[in-house]
Amino acid sequence: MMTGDAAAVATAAGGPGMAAHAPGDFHTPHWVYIAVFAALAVLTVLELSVNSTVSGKSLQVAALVSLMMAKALLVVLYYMHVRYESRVLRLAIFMPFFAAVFFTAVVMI
Amino acid sequence: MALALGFSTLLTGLVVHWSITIVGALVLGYAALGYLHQLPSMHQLEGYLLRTPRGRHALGGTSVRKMGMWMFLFSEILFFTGLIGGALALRVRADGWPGPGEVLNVPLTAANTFILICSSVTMVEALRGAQMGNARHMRLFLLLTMALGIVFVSIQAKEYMLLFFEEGLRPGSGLYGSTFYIQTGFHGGHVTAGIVALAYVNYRAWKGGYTREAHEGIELMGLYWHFVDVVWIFLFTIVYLI
Repeated sequence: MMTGDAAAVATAAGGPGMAAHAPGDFHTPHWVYIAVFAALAVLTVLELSVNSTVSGKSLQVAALVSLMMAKALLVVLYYMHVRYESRVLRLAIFMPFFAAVFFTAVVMI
Repeated sequence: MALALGFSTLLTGLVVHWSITIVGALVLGYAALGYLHQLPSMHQLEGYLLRTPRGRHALGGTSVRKMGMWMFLFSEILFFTGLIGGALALRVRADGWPGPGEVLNVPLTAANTFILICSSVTMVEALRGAQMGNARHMRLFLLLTMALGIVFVSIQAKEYMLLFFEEGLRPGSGLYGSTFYIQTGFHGGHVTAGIVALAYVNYRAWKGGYTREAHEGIELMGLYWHFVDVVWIFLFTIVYLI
């Protein structure tokens, strides 16, 4: 059952350029959004504690980079819905990430 | 894609070697010419993109608008790669570099990071509201997202003022200052641009511009907003914690 407001928004005409969803529309379960939020908060707290709990600069950097990648992946896969996107788009997204890692490695050497 | 590749190669060349800059400029010029050549037939391009000779959807169901947003984000990934990679290249060659928390206020920025993460949750909640056809939910969370973005930029401005006037960290005071301001400054600029876009999306939402069936504008806004969040996840770790 929709509220009056909801009914109004559902029946209102779409504005210019507001195209309807293409096939492959997604509806992520609500608990996934909340679980990802909790995971991001926990991972951030873990990141903040790395420098005081882990000894050795190399280990600290490895731990921080791992936590950073985990957080970024969670946002990209679940909040940007890449997990539910088509294979074409997922392949396309791989390319700039590959280029990003490649160029960063080139300038670091 | 070729435009982004050319631009990022050009930026990398500025740091590494002039010959790479020339290669980047050539790729960028070639891609720009190709793009201009295609402009008169963009509608033909769209039809071409959406259907293969066998009649299948070439993008696997992804709309052209969403693919356009992703293409823009691809170029943004390479833009920030130039900034972060350049800063890392300077850092590994520098004689000395302040450790985590020696100059920068980590607790304040950690709180700001949490605010940006919260704004990502409110953004997906707004999309969920649109998908459910619940206008009140959608409007409330769109407004909250914009408010959290404003809080983030305000705290960043406060941080800049403290660093600039009290700590004496300025863009011209050395490699550390210049790389810090250019990375976080460009990110702050992106958040500010996102707030402006969110203001428009909020306006449209209050005018009833998004329906349960047609709300792609909110989804595309969300893609940009989450991308800005991902960039901050990288910057917070690399600039403040490592």
